[in-house]
Amino acid sequence: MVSMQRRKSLKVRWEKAFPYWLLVPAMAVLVLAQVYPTLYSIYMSFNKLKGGKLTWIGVDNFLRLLRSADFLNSLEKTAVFAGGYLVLTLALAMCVALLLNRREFLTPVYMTILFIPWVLSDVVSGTMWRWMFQQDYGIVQVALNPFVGNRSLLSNDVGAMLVMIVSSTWRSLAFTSLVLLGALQTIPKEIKEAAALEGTSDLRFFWDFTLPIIKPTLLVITLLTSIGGINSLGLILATTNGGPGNATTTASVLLFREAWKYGDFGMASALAVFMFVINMALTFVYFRVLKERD
Amino acid sequence: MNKAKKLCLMAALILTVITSITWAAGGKEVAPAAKATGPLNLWTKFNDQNPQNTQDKWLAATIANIKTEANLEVKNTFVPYDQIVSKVNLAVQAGGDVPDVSYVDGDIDFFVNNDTLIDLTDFVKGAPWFKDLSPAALKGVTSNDGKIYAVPFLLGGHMIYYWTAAYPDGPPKTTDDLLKAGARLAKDGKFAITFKGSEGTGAQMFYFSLVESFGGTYTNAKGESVFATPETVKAIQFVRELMAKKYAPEVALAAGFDFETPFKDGNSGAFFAGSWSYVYLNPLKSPDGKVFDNGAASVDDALKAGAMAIADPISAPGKKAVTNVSGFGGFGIPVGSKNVEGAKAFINYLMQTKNAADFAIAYGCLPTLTSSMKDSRFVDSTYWQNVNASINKTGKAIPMNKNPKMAQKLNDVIITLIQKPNLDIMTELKKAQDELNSGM
Repeated sequence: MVSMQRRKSLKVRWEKAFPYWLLVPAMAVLVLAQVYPTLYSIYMSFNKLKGGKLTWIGVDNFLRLLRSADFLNSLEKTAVFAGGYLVLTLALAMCVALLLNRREFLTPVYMTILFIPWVLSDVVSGTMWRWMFQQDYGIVQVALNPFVGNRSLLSNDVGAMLVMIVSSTWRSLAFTSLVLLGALQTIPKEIKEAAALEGTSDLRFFWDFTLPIIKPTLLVITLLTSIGGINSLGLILATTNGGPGNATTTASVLLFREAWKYGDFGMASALAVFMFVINMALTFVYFRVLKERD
Repeated sequence: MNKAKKLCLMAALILTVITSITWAAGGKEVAPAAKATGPLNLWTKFNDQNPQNTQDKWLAATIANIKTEANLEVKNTFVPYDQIVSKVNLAVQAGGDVPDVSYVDGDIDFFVNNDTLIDLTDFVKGAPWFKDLSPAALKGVTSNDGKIYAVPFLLGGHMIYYWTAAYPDGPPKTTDDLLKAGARLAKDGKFAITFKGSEGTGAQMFYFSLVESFGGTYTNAKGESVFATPETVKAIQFVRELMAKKYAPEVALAAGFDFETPFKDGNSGAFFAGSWSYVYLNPLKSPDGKVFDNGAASVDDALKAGAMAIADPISAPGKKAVTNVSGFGGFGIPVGSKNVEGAKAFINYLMQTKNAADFAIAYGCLPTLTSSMKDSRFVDSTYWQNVNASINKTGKAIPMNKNPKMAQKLNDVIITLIQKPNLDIMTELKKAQDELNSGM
C-alpha cells in the first residue's frame, strides 16, 4: 500500500517536472548564445584587451566614455534617428494597416509588395539607397535636385540623417503594419456596427475605439521599434558608414567602430553595457505603462 | 511550485550565472605557438581563387611559383580590404585561428597599439635585402620606440591627376591657383578638383598634404597629436572656401568611392589620388569628350594621348608640396602565428628584386627595394618615373600616433567644420586634440 502510494507520488512529480526538463536544451542554447556573451561583454567592459590579454581597469572605460565627445554626439544622433524612425514608422504603419484592413481588391498583392523591403538584407538595402542618392546618377537625388538646390543629400549632415530615417522606415514598415493589422482585426464587429448606427465618424471611431483597443499591441510595437532604432547598424553602415563625418554615427555605429576599427574592445563593451541599460530602461517603462493600463 | 523547488531553481540559475562569469573571467591568453604543420596560412585582401584584377592574378601566380621555386606551400584566405585589419586583430585578441602571415595595410599604429604583430626588428635588420630597403618605407613600419613591426613592400604617394582640357596652361600648383581655376571652371559647370575627404582617408591624404604644406603637422616625435595650430586652421579655411564655392563636389565628404565619378566623367578638372588609383579609374571621359575605356590601362592611354597629366599635390602659396608616405602595404606576422619561420621564408621570397617589382606593378605602387626600382617596367614608364620623382620631392613620413583614432577623429572634425561654417576652427581642433591626447 505504502509502496503503491510512493510510486504514485513519484509518477506525479515526474509528470510535473517533465515539461521543465524539455526546456533544458533551449535554455542551454540561450545561455550559450546570449547569456554568456552578455556576461562576458559586461566583464570585458571593466578590462583592457591588448595582445590577447585582459587587464582589469575598473570603471576606466565608462569614465572615458562619459568624457568622450564622440560618445555624447552618438547619443544625440541615436535620439534623433530612433525618434524620427519611431514616429515615421508608426504613423505610416498605422495608415497602411488601416488601408489593408478595408480588405479591398488586390490586398494580398499590396501586402506582398509591402514585404519586399523586409526580405532584403541590410547591405543590399543600404547599397540600393546609396545608389539612389548618388549625386550624378542617383534616381532619387536627380529627381530631388530642383528642390534641394542640387545639394547631395548624403554629403549633408541633415540630408544623410533624413535618408537614414526614411530608408529604415521603408525596411521595417511591412512588419509593423502587419502587427498593427493583426491588432485592428481584433476589434469586435459589434462595436463597429454600433458606432455606424450612431453615425460616429471614422476619425472619432479611430480615437475613441480603435486606439484604446489596440493600445497594448501599439505599446509592444513601439517598444520593439524603439529598440530596433537604437540598435540599428547594418543599414547605416551600408548607406552612410556613419558619415558624412559623424553625422549619422549613432551609438551602435560608434560601438562597431570602437571594436573593429580601433580594436578597443573594452570601450566597445562599455558602450554595449550602456546601450543594454538604455534598452532595459525603455522596456521597463513601456511595460509599466502597459501594467497601469491593465 | 513549492518553496523548496523555487529555491532550488533560483540556486541553479545563480550557479549558472556565477559559472558563466567565472568562465568568462578565466581570461584568454594567447596559446603558445604550436609546431607548424601543413601549408603556410596566409591572409590577404587578394582573391587568388577567383582573380578579378592584377593584384589577385599576381597572388595566384606567386603561390604557384613559391611552391616550385622555394618548396613552400601557401594557402591564402581572401579577406575583403575593409575587414582584413580588424579581422587579423580580432583573431589575435580572441586567441582564435591566427594566420601565419598577413597582408597589413597602412595601419601600423593600430597594430602597434593593440600588440597584434610580432617584433620583426632583428629579422629585418639581419635580412640580406635590408640595405636595399627604402628608408621612407621602413619608417612607415617602425614604431616611435624604434621597433619594426612589418615588412613594407609598397610605397605609394599622392598626386594630382588632371585633364589637360580643363587646365590647358598647366596644373594648379597652389591653393590660390586652385581657387582661381575653380572660378573659371564653375562657369562651365565643372569642378576644379575632387578628392576623398571622408572616413579617415581624407585626413591621411588630401587634408594631410594641405596641413603639412601650410606648415602644420599631425603628430610629434612622442606620438602625441599636435594638429591644433594656426597653420592647420589656414588649411581648413582653404578647404571650407573650396567647398562653400562648390569648386569641389559635395560627394567628396560622403562615404564610399563616388568622389571618383566627377573626374571619370570629365566633370572635375583634377583628382587628388594615390599612385595606385589608376587601377580603378576606368572608363574615363575627358571634359572635351574623349573616351578611354581600356580597363586598368585607361589612365595610361589617357596620359599617352596627352589628355591627362600628373602633377605634385597642391601646396600653400610660396610653400612646398607635401605627400604622405607613412601609409604602406606589406606583410606582418601576427602574435600567435604557428609558423613564424615559414612566414619569414615567404617574406624573404617576396623581397627578391624581381618578385618585389612584380608585386608593386600588380598593385599600382612603387617597390620599396631600390634595386626593384631599376626594373624596366618602372624605368621605361613615364608614369612611374613621374610618380617616383614626385614622391622623392614631396614625400614625408610622420611619426606614429599613440591614438589609432586620430585620423578618423580629425577627419570628422574637418567635415563638421566644413558643414558648419560658424564653428571656430581652432576651438574644435583643440577639443579634438585634447581628447585624443588624453587617451580616449
